[in-house]
Amino acid sequence: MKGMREIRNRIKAIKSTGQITHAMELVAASKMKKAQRNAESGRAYAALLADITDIVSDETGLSFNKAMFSNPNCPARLVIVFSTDKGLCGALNTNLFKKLTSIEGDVKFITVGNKALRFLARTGRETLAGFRLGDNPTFSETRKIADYALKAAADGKVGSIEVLYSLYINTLKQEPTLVKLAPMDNLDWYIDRLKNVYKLNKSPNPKDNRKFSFEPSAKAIMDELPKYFLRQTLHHIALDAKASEQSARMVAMKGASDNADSLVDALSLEYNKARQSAITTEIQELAAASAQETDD
Amino acid sequence: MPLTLEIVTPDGVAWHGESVDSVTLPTESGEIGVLPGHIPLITILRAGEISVSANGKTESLAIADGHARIMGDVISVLSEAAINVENVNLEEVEKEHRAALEAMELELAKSNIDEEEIRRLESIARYSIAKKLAKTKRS
Repeated sequence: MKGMREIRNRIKAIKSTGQITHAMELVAASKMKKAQRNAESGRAYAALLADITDIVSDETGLSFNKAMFSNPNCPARLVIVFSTDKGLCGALNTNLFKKLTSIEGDVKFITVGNKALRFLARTGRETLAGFRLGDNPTFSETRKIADYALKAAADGKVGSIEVLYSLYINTLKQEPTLVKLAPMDNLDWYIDRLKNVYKLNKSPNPKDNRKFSFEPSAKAIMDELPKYFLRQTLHHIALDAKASEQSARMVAMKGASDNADSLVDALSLEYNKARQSAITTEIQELAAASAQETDD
Repeated sequence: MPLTLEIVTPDGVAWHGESVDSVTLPTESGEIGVLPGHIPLITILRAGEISVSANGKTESLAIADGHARIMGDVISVLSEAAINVENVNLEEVEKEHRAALEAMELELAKSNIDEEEIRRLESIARYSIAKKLAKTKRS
């Protein structure tokens, strides 16, 4: 059995670590509630916007995308990665990077958050820019990211704009998701995904076989909608990623605090046993000594 | 078949109603009225007033800039903000309007003008005007 002093020191150390993780859990929990509320309230909007953009894209064909890409046939892909700035959030980033390493071909990255920036530097991938977001991303912050991506597309450096982020499903579940936002020829599965995960009205879009008309004109909508869609969707994704981060951190910290508590319990038991056996030995020794004395 | 109208903002679904008889939307090229059987349409909306009539009653909502989709008797309005005119407080709107204008002046005085920021403030100002107009028209 270990020495009593050793056990006592371990208990002390674990208790103080547990205190820290518990405090972090509380902080994450309060941030989580806010982040989740922000993310959830924007869900219906994001899904409907994607829906409308998808229809416009279907109706107008590829010309929709020409406005954004000066070189639409460029093989390079642009992937915007939303990671966290800090660690201690369980397997969130690890899962994200696993998905990231499965992306192959000519890919250029834009990172949001420190973790992705460092991961890409470590693995020698091409990074165009790195951004950071606060706990409550504002539209003007996320707009800068969107505008950077739009500029890269307008300069003909890339042929598509994609986003990799942790889709927030609920407090216990986040899923790394890769979605192509532009060109907008394949939004269907993303819309379905959003509607499924967010439990939005699942009824299929109302059928209407007549030809769509556009007000004030198809051109006016095509000039404005892609940019608007990209900016709004990136903002929504940033909020979603934040909700994922805070939820993952809360859960990780709760796990750590629980582990600390059970470790302290186990160690206290061990400590008490050690103390008791030490006392027993002491009594035995005393008894033996006094027996010897009476013998003399 | 009656119309279905939903108004969605980044803060959630602001208005949802089935069995609506007619809807008036403020578009870029003027107001359009929508009745059942309207052709499929996607349009850009300007800040203004949406009036909804259902069961002989007319309800009025102020919206900010946005988009609308009309498809198969379902009208989906996507807007930055929306509010029922009944809940509009004229004093607050006045304050909001003035704050937006002041912020715009500050932005214009800067050496490197951020066009997007100006556009954003303009749309806030337009939204507050829309709220004021819709409110004063009712009362």
